[in-house]
Amino acid sequence: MLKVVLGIVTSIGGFVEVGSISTSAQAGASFRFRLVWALALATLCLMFLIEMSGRLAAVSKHTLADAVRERFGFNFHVVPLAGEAVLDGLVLTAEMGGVAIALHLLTGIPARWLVVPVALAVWLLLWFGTFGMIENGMGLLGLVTLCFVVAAMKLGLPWREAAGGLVPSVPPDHHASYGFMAVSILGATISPYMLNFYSSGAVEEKWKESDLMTNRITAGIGMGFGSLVSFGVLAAAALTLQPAGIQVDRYEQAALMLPPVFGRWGVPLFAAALAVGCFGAALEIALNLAFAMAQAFGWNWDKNQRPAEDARFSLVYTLAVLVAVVPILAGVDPLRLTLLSMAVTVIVLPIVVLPFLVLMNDEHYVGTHRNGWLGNAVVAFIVVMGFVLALVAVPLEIMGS
Amino acid sequence: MRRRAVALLLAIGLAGCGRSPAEQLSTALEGVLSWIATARTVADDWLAGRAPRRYTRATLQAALESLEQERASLTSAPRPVADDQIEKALPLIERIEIAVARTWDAVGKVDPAAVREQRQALDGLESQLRALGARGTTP
Repeated sequence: MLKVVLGIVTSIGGFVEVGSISTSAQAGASFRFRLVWALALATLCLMFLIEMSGRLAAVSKHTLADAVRERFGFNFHVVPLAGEAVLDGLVLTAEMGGVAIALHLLTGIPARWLVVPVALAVWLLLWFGTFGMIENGMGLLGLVTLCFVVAAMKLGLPWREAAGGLVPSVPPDHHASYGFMAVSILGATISPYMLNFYSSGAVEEKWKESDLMTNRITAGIGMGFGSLVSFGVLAAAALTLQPAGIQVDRYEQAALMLPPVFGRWGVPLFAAALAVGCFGAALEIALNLAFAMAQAFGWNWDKNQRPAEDARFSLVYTLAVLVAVVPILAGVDPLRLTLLSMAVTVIVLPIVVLPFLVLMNDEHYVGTHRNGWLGNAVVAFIVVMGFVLALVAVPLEIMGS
Repeated sequence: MRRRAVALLLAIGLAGCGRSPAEQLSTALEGVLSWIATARTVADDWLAGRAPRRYTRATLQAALESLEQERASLTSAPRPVADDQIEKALPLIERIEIAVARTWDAVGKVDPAAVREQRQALDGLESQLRALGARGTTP
């Protein structure tokens, strides 16, 4: 029971990060509730994929990367691995930039200088922390992001209009921007790094077949409630920024959604939510990059071991954190980087998801717990959707951002 | 059939990669209006004690930088289509930048009266910008 509750709570706390905050804030500020359908669709896809990642790990004792390498061979595995490495690098930079921006909102010090202590803090926690401390600790702290849901409620959420957003509708103008936002929300929510990270966590925690129900509840309820936080951001932006005529081009503008509800605590709360969400995600992404590399090349990768016992694994996340600092120091805008990484996500997504179709139907890996027709249909849909979105993502990025 | 669908998607994607000068002007003015609203809202929040001083100044600084960028993008835009409107918009944007810079200064000096004065100036400048045909996003 405790495991289930902890899984749900950390899913809620760990759901929101730089991509979901920025895309939801932009969507709400520019299109009110018209993009709720994109968030709902992405959440549904994520629930299925997370459940499959956990089921694969619990039954086969393989992480996703491990299973792909073993089943398809290294020559195939190098393609999703390269895509995920590029994407993880981009998103890691954006997340650390997000923490630096949060501190900038409170201190006024330029974010590019704050990213150095942020990177040091990320690395120290990765080096000295255990997997449980990182996953559960940051997930619990992440509950501060529920302030967006509270704000949406206190602002008088128009339920009928919000529910109407579940049905896709085209706005009268700004079509390219609308399309780009829809792609960005899908990219921000269905993060490929979450799939391997989740399965790596399940293997680290030695999940068994008896944990399949916990897995199902965490994936379903946890991710469902987690997406409520993203919805809270979208709704708060729709109810405060949109009527004021504010589009979100910088994080400073997004922070204006909370003072109408929380008064002088609004900006500090926004900064805390952004900082905690991004910090937790930065830890997970750096770890996932190390997991993926170690699993691809057959190195030790237990996060609960001392760094000296899996030196190459520790070296990967150390280098990742170091490299990710450079673009922010060079003055790259974290928000623009976030939107670029969301477009890259939809390009990488089909390559990462395609192997699910084979792995989740292979008795060697999942035994009798194979996918049903619904699971396979969802995976096929995500792959097709990913390919279509990959074709339009870059032109939309140019036109709509 | 499949080739046609792929070609159609590519065509839709690539067709909009270029923007006309009129569209550039419209996008830039939309951005300017959004930043005026931002400066006005953060100034109101500061006056009401809802926004910390450092955050208020950081936001006004961001507004100033973004307005400069919008003006630079209009200055470098090809002129034949929207020449007249761009010529009228540029000095207005410059005056908006000055009003935002003065608000930034007034917040630094904790001078609420000066902030109110610049806030009113922003209202007037916004009206003039809207008279040029500028409009914000409408869902």
